[in-house]
Amino acid sequence: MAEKNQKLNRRAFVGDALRVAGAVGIVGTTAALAVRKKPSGKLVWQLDPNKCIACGNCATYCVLDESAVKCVHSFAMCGYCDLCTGYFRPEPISLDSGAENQLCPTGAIRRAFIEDPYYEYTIDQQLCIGCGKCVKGCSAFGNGSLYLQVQQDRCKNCNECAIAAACPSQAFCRVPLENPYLLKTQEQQG
Amino acid sequence: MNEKQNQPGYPLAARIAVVAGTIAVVICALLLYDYTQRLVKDPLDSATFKTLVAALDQQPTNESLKEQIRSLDLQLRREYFRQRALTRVGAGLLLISVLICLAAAKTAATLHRRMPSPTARSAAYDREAAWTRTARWALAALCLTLVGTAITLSVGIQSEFQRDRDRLATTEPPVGTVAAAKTPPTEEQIGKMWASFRGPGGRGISAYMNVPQTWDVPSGKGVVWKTPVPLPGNNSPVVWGNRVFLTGADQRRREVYCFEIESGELIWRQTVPSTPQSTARPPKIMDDTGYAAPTAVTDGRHIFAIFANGDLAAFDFSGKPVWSKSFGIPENIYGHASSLAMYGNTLLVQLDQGSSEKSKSKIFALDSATGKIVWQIARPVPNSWSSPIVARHADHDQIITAADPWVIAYDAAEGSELWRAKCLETDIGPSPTFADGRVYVANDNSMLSAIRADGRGDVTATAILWQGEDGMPDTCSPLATEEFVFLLASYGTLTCYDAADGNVLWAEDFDEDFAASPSLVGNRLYLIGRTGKAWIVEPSREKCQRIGQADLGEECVTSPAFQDGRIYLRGKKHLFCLGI
Amino acid sequence: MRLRVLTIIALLSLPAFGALASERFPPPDFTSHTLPTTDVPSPWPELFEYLDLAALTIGLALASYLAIVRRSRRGLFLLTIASLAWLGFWRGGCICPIGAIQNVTLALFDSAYTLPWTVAAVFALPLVFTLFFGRTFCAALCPLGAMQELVALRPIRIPTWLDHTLGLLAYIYLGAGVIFAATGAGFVICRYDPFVGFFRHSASANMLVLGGCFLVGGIFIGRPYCRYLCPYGAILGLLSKVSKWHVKIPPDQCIQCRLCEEACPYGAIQEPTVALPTPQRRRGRWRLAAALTACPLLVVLGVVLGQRLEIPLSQMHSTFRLAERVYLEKSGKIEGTTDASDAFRNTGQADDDLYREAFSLSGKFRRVGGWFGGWVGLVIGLKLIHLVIRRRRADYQPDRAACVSCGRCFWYCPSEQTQQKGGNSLNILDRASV
Repeated sequence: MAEKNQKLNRRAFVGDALRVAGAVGIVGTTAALAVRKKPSGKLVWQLDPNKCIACGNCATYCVLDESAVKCVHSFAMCGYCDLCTGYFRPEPISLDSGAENQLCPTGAIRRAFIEDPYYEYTIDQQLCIGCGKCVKGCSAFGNGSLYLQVQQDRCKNCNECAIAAACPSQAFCRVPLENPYLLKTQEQQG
Repeated sequence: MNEKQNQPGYPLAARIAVVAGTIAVVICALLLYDYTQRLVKDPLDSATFKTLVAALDQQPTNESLKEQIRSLDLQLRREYFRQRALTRVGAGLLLISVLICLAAAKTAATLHRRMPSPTARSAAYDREAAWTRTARWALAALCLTLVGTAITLSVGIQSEFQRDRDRLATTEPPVGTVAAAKTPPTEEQIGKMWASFRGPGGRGISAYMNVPQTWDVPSGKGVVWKTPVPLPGNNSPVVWGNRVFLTGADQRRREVYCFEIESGELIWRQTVPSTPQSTARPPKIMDDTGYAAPTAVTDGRHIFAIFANGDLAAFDFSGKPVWSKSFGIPENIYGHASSLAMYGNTLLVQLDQGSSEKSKSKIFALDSATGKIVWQIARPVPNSWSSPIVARHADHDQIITAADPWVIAYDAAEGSELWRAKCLETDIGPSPTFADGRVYVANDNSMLSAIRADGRGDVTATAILWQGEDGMPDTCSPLATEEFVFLLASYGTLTCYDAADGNVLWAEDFDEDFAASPSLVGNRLYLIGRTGKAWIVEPSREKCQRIGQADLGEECVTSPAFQDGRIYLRGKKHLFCLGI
Repeated sequence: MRLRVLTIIALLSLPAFGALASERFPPPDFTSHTLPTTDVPSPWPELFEYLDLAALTIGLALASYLAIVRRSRRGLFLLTIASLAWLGFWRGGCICPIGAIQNVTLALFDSAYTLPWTVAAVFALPLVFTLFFGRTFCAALCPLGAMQELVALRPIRIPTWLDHTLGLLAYIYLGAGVIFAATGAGFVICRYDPFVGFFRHSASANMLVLGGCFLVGGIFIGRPYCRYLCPYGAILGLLSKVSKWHVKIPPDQCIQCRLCEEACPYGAIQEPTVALPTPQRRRGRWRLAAALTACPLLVVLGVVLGQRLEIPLSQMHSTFRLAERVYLEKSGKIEGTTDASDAFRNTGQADDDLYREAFSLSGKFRRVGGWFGGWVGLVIGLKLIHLVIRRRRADYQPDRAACVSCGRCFWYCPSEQTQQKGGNSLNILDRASV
């Protein structure tokens, strides 16, 4: 009887030891993977404006009804042009804010007169849907100061970003939470 | 244990569940309906709106139409945001009603819990064997299904791309094309083609000796083909492999043309992309210069062209646009005329503009694949009309430029200035040339200068070997060999200098005005006059021996391109292929 | 001569030309107007990730305690609701351990991807707990499981053989998820997650319909995703088989009333077996031998067929699809261009480089397809062996792999009711070690 108990205890001990070893193995492997290069915090999605071709997928592929990708404006790079090719459609009737002249489908860009011949263009984030029409116009004919970025307060940070999978130019990448934006700087011109 | 335990609260819970469930279903249906409506009629993509705007384009002053468009636009935008808000609210309501329904249903189920009533079973029946046997058969069926799926997928999904894999991997690239896009063509390859203004190194010297020595287009002699060029331009043909490229432009249009070398067929013509700013008004040019004066350049992979309004474009050999850039309309009194040059994977753009006091001149090096600026240097010169050349001297590849008053050489690999010499004045039309370690520049209000190319910094005092005064050209670029330097003045005089010491050996007059720079084939000079008459001469130390004459039958101000047994020459209206 | 005159005329009439720009239009120098700054919204703080991790750990410990020590169905149910509310609807159900399989795989195979350690922890924690306590994660922590628990109102009994066969799909899905994550083709487990659309309050129509189908199906089939599709559940099932403690039906007092068997909506309770007569036992040994030989043959068959899947698998990867498209357009076999092919041409990258990349990818998929096929073959082979080996059970007990520790069987067991009412403390830990 004592022998049987001993055998059972030994088997239980071996089983326990194996389980503990297994647990350590699981934790150890995943930890090793995590700290392989350097301990990484949370990664979030962002869009590289230099690769973006303003195809319009950002507005339609986001899992959210109101896309997390919206247009931002780099004022330092803007030419403040009278005829802004990101604001006006090609060959506008006149240079005013009439609906027949504007490129933005939701009227999210506001045009304000500063001094002759400069106008300032600001984006109303509530209205922007991230369709990229202004981005296309600005980067093709202007300075490229209007570009799309993932808004980190709206983005749900899905493990697989639906827009990233659909992006024709593979412009999406994961960036660390501490520096979640890929903003254009003036040095990138040219 | 068979009676149902109808606890108090069950009817209420059941009723709530049913009501909440019905509400959920109704909301779901409404949302689905709204969703389909959204798909069918996207307010931001309305056909009515587009037609109205198109109508307004036809009648731009119709105010009532404008009002109509604006009110429609407001309506559409309101509709879009309303739909979105509705979806959000609807989804929230749906979620709440589903949760209430589930909670109520769960409560009802708990209150209405039926006791399980297991049926009687005979104890000896080996259920385990029965179900494991069935399971094994089911497993076999699953296995067969998986195998069937795998076979169907692997057979049914074909990829032509994968099938042609071997062919893609081993195909020899067609003659003249550069195999790997990342490596630029070798000097040997460039030497066989005529890829830029005045050919390899901008020297105007043909690699082939077997080109025709006479032709007479009006009578049809010596013409292989002639093709009309749609738009005029003063740029010379460039050739790579089996393609000949030209550009043409007028006040409003700028185009690049690609001709097939054997037949002369115009394979493709492409419009150059422009910006509203570069097309806001046509650039001011002289009729003599035209809108497409700069000659294009190619590296066997792409063709690059620039125009008087500062529009620069890159196309691949099939005509697809690769990239484009607009420098803005240059401040140039006669019209931008500097041709493009290439060094390795960089495209060189000499953009001289402005005046001596307010110079805006720069030289750019762009990455040929993307058009991004690799380096740029400001130049202390006003507008000029000469083209840069790339020359190799003492292990440095130099980009040599000529303008008023500086001749400046840049290190082609690094993009920094190597040396400069002050020896030119006023409007510089002739481009520099290079031979035997020396740079030769000339202009009608300056002198012909021979400059040693191995200096550093300001070498005006030290590197100018000799200078000459006779027969200065204002348009034609000089042609230099180890022995001679030839100048062709616009009014028709060909002057020959001794390259060693700058002595004038002889001067020959032709009764013709010249705009095309002279070219060299072996020991023969080809001189093409404005009226299309051409002279082929054999210069020696003693005299200029006239060998032959030719007639293009058309005005000509461009330089010829020499290939194996062929000369490609652009007249005012046609591109000619001359040969036996 | 002529030139000089013209020069003077031209100089006298110099018009203002457009500006040269390294940008196209140089930014103006305002004297009195200050440029506004580009404001971008800041993300949610990382604190929430740590809170989630803490919630997960506490939840796992609590679930294990409630399932094994307290044996409280009510406690587990309340924890389920709490988990659904927090981890599901509030935090969007992402990142979950099921998806984390792919992150870990990607970290193994792609040196450019660093695995955030919170994700590593989310993946590893439920595995460790399962190794000791059984599938308590599935019981009360997993938001997907919680959704299915809520809708399991009228579960029907699936025949055991069907249950076991369909359960293999989970292993196949696991294999597929791993190979697509490893080759960088995408995270298919996340792509086809049925309930994440509800948790995020938004998804594409297809995903919502899929989720709806699972919900409606879940009313009649208990936990359909958990039992037949969940890849993480496949791993947990394997670990749970060797767990130290597990939810048990008290064997001492089992009166074989079979109420628990009927009550379990997931068919996870196994009945006791009868002893086999000798001739059947001998046949059983032959069957075992056959199964043992069949297993490696199935693996080989799987490897061969898997390698043949090179093309369909490669086409799941966007780079391969792009190369195909570029090639077809270039050789004129297809009309028109797509955004992707246009974008590729604009980069100026050589076609040959793209083709080379695509071919190396397809080679990778060939190898990986072989592994996948071998894995499927192995799973089927091992299942076959499993079905052939007789087990001996004297009483009703939960299937260690399939039981999700939901605790419904506690309520129905009359022995348990008497014990608890009778006041004898039920020391489960003692029993578990037997």
